[in-house]
Amino acid sequence: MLAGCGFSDSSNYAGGAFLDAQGHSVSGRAEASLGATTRSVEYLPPEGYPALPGMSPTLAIGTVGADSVRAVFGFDLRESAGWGDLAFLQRHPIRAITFSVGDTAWKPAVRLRLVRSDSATLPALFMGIEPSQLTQTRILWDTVVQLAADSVGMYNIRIDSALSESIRVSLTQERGWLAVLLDPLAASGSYTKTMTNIGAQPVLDRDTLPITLGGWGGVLATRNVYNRAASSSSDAIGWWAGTGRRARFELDGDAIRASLHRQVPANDISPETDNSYHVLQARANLGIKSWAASANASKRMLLTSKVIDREDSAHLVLGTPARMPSSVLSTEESGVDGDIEVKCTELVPSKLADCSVVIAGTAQFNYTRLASVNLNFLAFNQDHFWLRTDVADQAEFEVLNNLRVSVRSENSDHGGSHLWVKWIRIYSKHASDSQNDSVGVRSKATLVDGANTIELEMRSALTQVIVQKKRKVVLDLVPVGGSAYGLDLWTAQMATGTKLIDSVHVLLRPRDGRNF
Amino acid sequence: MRKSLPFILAASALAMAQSPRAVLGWGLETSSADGPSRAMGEAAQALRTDRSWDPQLEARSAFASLTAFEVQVAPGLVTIDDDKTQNTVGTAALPRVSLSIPLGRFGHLGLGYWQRYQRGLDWTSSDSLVSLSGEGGAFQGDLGYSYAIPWARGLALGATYHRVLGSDRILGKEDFKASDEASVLQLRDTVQKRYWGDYWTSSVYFTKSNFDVGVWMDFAGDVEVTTARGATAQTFSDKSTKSVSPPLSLGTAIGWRFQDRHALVGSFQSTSWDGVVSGSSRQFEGGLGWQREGSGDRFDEYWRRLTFRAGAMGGFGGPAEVVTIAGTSGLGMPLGNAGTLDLSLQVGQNDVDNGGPSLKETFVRLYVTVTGASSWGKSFRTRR
Repeated sequence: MLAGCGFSDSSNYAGGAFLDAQGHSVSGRAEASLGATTRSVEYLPPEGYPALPGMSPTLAIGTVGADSVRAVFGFDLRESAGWGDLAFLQRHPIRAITFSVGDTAWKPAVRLRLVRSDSATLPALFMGIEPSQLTQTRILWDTVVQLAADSVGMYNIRIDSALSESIRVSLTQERGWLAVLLDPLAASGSYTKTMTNIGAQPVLDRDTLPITLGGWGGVLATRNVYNRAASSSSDAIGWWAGTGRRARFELDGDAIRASLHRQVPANDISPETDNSYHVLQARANLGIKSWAASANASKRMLLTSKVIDREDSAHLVLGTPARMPSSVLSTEESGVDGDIEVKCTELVPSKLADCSVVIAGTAQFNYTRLASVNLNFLAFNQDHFWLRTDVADQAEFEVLNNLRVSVRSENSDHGGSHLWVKWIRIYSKHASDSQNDSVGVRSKATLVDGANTIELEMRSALTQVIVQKKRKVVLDLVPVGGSAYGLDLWTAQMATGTKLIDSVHVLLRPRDGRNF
Repeated sequence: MRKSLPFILAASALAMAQSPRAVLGWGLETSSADGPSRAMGEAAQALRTDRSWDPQLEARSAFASLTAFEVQVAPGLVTIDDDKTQNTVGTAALPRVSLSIPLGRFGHLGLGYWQRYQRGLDWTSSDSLVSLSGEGGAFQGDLGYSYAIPWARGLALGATYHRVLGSDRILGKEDFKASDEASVLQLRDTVQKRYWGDYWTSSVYFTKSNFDVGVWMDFAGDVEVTTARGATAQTFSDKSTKSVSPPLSLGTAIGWRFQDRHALVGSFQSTSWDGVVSGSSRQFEGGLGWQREGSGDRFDEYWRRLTFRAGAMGGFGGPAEVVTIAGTSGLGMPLGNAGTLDLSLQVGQNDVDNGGPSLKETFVRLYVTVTGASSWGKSFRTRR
């Protein structure tokens, strides 16, 4: 019987019909086109704590489209070390603000503001609150200057003698800080370089030793603030200095499952999950209305997803810790010996809160947005963060591997009374699928000149939308820049802000018969 | 032989029997026959011997006088034919390991490992995009005790406790690579089963003059089968556990020794699969065999000391109504003073006969059995 049958240790192809009869059939691949109805879309800052001053390795300055990146410098006039005593300063008044940038061809028009501030209010300036809204600040100078590098590549902004004298005279009664706010105006004219980085440390020039940047908790008193243009749409994502914006959305899983089952019939027997398909490929088309980017910026996006197991929200009262309820995660489930709390205290009345996550009485270090955008989760950590309470603001971050916290300030003048904390227990997290071909990023998966769509692979996210009948699946459209963080900046306004994904083309294989 | 044994065992662990039939029930079943019986149509359960132990007919060993240790491995080839495609693949198994310990007037103790089920499976779709493979299987740890009734010459009773345990897995796999993607997507489906439970077998054995007969019967037990499912990116409910009774057998075997060294054997067994594989009918298996025992004189020429065996076996029913027919033959070779090497060849066919798609397996299996026996715990009983 075995005559003529050569021995083979390779795969066995025989018995497919038998396996099929026993319920082990393997269905053929199929294609489907989905409308991807969206239940909700919101635009949020990136993950992580907002970075404190001095954390960024690059202090950027420039414009991206109609938006701008502000640089804030803080000079500590209370501190005499490095510039002599008060009498010495009074003999040698401040003459100029001097700094250098990475590219001496940079010559924008810049709005310059010199602001006197006390220590308690200075954080508000670092967080982008306008000095005119702060009672403890005084604007000394508000002007527009046309910057240009001198013969040695330095930028000098001369302070007129009257102002210099005014500062000198006021030093006796008003020590505090001198903050410098530089807001580049939209690029125009002959130069195209819109973004640059501030190289050498800015100083306040005097006749003798300059005044260097102040120290803020062991780091330099510098920070970037991203300013959206007044005309900018909120339906935008982007990658910009120190923060950015992502789009969070929820697809209509019921509609997608119904559409899919109409196009590719398959078993669906579980009330909790729909394990009918293996999604081999899911290409989502997203319409882009407009975009702007700094030169050479890598304008990419990723689609990540999270399956939410449980979540719970509560008002956050300033000064009172908010404890995670055990209904979200019990002590046994978390493995944490002690309470997990979020505590926010008022830093600048009705403007700014200082928040931290406290576990068993100790403020926990967590990664900042700088860590997310630099992909360095060791270097960019801090144990507290600032949250604006005068406008809508939010910080979302991981506390445990399966626990996320969102601290949100609603747009209100009532400060702490409109702070919320949301505890989110994650069932599973799904990283973005690769958008790369054998050469690099697929050309369709990055913003290029002339294109008004972007095509992203989203098989992992779509699979969860299909599978999870009872759990919420949230998707994040996350901007990605280049390696030169701070300079690779871009923004994109989505064509359909409330829908986000135009369509998804799916290649899949029904899992009929895989129940064994 | 001593050097090659570890290699054979390792090879057995690496490769398992392969057939699409392994998706059924608890997998492909292997009988508990000892090495010599494999060559006699797997029908020699009742043939009196000092050198082996049968976990089903424990009562036979009440008259054993030698402590015996047996290891059995079974490499083979199987040709799988579905009328459209035919493939020949290698198989291997470690069906059993046993230790038989006579306890003198206190009876007999038997210990054994019986790889009763194997989920050995390897199948690839004709377009090579999807594959199914199976591995593992439920096995039994057996502990038997038998006792020769003092006042009933030649009669023994035995009982065997079977601990069912082990796990198996069926793995479906698909590799997908889009033309414009650098990485390969691997999608997997897995169903894993764990077995934990027990059941009992009782046996009666009678031997008188040249005639041996034994009867055994399994009693309903309880085996928990825990099923866990998994697949790439899919979510399944928690593991499910079902309690079932294992397949229960009722069997009998006879042996007749004649002309000093010859023996004829026969056996018949019926197994109920109710509750294990739904819709399966009762399974019937039987076999006939012959043996010419070699000389026991170590000074004889070696070929005179060889034992020759032959037989046939068959069966029908059970999962997928498989009809089995096979011819067997074998050789028993003495190894030194106390050991034997039994080579048993089985050539046969399994034919699925349930009215569904055709599936035929033509198999050649070589059971290699090494047995070591000594007079430890030699029995004081000599009654018959």
